[in-house]
Amino acid sequence: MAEVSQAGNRGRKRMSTRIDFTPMVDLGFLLITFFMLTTAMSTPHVMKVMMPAGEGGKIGKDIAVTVILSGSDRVYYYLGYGRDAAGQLELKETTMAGIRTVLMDKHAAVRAQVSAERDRLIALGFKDAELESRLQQFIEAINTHRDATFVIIKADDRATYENLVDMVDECRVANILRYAIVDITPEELDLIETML
Amino acid sequence: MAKVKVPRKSTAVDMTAMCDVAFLLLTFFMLATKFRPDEPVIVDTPSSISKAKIDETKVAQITIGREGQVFFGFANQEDRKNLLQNFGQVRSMTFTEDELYRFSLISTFGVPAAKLREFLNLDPSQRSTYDQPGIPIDSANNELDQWLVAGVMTSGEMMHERLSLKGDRKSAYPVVKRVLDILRDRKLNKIHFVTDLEQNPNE
Repeated sequence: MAEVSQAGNRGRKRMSTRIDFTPMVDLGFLLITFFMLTTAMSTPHVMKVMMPAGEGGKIGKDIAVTVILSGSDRVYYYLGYGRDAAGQLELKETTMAGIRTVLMDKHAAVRAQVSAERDRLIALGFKDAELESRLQQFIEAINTHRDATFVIIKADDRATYENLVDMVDECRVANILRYAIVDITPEELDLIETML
Repeated sequence: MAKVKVPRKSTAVDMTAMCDVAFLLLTFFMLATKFRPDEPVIVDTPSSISKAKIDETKVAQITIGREGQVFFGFANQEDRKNLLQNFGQVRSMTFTEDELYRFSLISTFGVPAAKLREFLNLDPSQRSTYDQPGIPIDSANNELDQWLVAGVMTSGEMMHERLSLKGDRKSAYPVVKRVLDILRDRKLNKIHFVTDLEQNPNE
């Protein structure tokens, strides 16, 4: 037996051990492409919004800001809600960026407290997620105070969902957590028409 | 002039290294992947500064398309089966086991109840090209409300934690307001708006 196999080996040509990997690379990249296209990499973020349950208690006119969203990203606002003590209702026109300053001014005292609290927490050595969650608790606590600003968000039929989300977002930027999405009154609707 | 002799080199390149890279990336994508659910419409969500996340495996999502079509769906397959069963109870319709199974494979749908059966009996390939008109939300035929009732029957109190709203930037406000009003009437006051992340100017 051994002799036979020896005789066979002598005549065989030495084969190279190299393999052409090109098709395997092709296959690899094909699968990568497939996974890249089907994958949903990042999970979406959510903004938690609490809607007021029906007609709630009355809020003071001095803490309220009414904001009205309209088409072409126009924003109108006035301090308080409804007619003022003198029976007047006057809208001011602004933009999303403009409303930020309005809300920040209105809420300046709270913002100063939040920023002081942030500095205090950082000095205590909190950072990242821990800092965020503690700060969030502080903001929530301070917003339950009855003097905290209340934003009434209204919109006419020309507004878009983006306007609404931007507006809620502006409130959160200004650390205001008390806001409500409310139906627009016919009087305000007429006022917007005259301001166009 | 002396002749310069250029040695002939083989054009074959060693593919081993490239193969290694390809499979390394492949492994990464295979491990990191989570399949994107089929969506009947492409929704471009607005952005906000919120960094909060939601448990995506249990979410109950209302989607509002650009043209104002309303879709609804549960993320969990088992929940979907119960959802359809409960919806059947609300509207006094009965669904076969096969229809329940077919429904449990659809992540989001926007078909009126009258066309639901026809929609379920389509092939998956036909279903993806089917033009879904959206769930009716007008007060005469408020089917979204019935789906919400079925949703509350399915997940009970947890529905309040799981409700998310994914709207397109350009969807009209009246539709959004109408959906929010329907939710409010069902005492579902805690809503998660799905948004993209944007930089917080306070940071």
